[in-house]
Amino acid sequence: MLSGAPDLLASEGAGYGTDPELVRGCLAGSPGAFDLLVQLHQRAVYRLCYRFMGNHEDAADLSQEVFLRAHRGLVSFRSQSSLSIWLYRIGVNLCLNRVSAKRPATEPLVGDNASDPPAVDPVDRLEQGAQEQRLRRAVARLPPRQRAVVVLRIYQELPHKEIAATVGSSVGAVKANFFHAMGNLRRLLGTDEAGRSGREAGEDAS
Amino acid sequence: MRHASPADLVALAEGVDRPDVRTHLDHCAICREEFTALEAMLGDHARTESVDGPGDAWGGAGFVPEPSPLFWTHFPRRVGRALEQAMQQGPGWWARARLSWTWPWLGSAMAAALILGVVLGSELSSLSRATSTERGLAADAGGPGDGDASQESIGAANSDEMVDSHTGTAADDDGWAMLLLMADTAVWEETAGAELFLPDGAAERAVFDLSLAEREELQRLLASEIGDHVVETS
Repeated sequence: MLSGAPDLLASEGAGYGTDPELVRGCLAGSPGAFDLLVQLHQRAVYRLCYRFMGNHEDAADLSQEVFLRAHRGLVSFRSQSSLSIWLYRIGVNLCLNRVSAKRPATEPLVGDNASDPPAVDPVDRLEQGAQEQRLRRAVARLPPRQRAVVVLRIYQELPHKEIAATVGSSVGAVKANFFHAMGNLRRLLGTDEAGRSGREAGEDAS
Repeated sequence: MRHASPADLVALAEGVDRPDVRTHLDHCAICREEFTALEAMLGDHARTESVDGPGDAWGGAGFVPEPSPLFWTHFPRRVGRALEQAMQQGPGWWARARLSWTWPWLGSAMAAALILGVVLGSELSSLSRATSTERGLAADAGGPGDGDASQESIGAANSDEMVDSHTGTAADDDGWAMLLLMADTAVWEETAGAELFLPDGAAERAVFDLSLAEREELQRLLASEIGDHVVETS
């Protein structure tokens, strides 16, 4: 269950105290039950999709698809896992498919629909933005599974156990993926840095 | 010496107390180097001073701009409309196909098609070669075994129009030609690469899955092409 979700469940006064109750309500066709499920999870699902795809259009489109798939598959939802993890799992699969289909074109870039944080010293902002951009670009170049683990671990802050449940592998495999992802990122950032230094040196020389 | 596993190093880097791994790192330069690099990758970016106050490059890189508030208001309705649309349209032909077809069935059908293709392809090739030889011999001898007679005799055995059209010159029929082409050019490694896997025994099962009428038709087709050879499909 996501933080804040119980409040919303209670405030709706629909009598859904838990995820399984809400799912039962959806399956029974209770009015508003599925709307409530969407409202509860839409932000988390959207953020996950955005972090994978790096733009609003894809994130919104995939988020909608996550809920459509969820609606079709509610019958198969097992209450052993939380609803959010189940939705994450659908989302990760959809994102991986989309990423595979669009590779290598998708490289989330800073500035795509970005509403920048409050104004600060432009030079500092540029430096920080450049570093974030390099990191984001490097994450986007990771193999899909490593990318999924990084997104879920660092951005979504899921414990390894929940990541394992989401991507359908063991905790050990998730940690190994994470370890290799960090190694790849280090190399990618190093290459990026070396390339940048080279370009700058070239520009200085000319 | 047994090195620390990636999982151990990740756990330690994330703050899990692992005295055994710590001790190992004290004595193993390779693992120590790996750990230092991992820690730096996680820590350096996390410790990067943000101009906006506490923050990090990871956080910045994972920053998700908030869509307009209206987006959230409309999103459940958008999903609802998409659901209604999907329900009104009902499952499309592909969805229906996916519901009603099972992969074993599809595998069996493909296996049957391939069996037909492979068997008929090879037999037609040999038939064609035999016919050519006959023609050659007949031409040499000046006897009655000319091409027309040869076609006639096969055609006589096949009263069905469809089969009749296949006799002798399979290449005249587009469907037949395609089947032959498939059989001739099928490269199993490539079909596997295209994820067209035929599990062991699929071909046999495919034959068993055929209805009685389908088996009879298969038998008739094979018999008509192979001639006197006995064809067992049941």
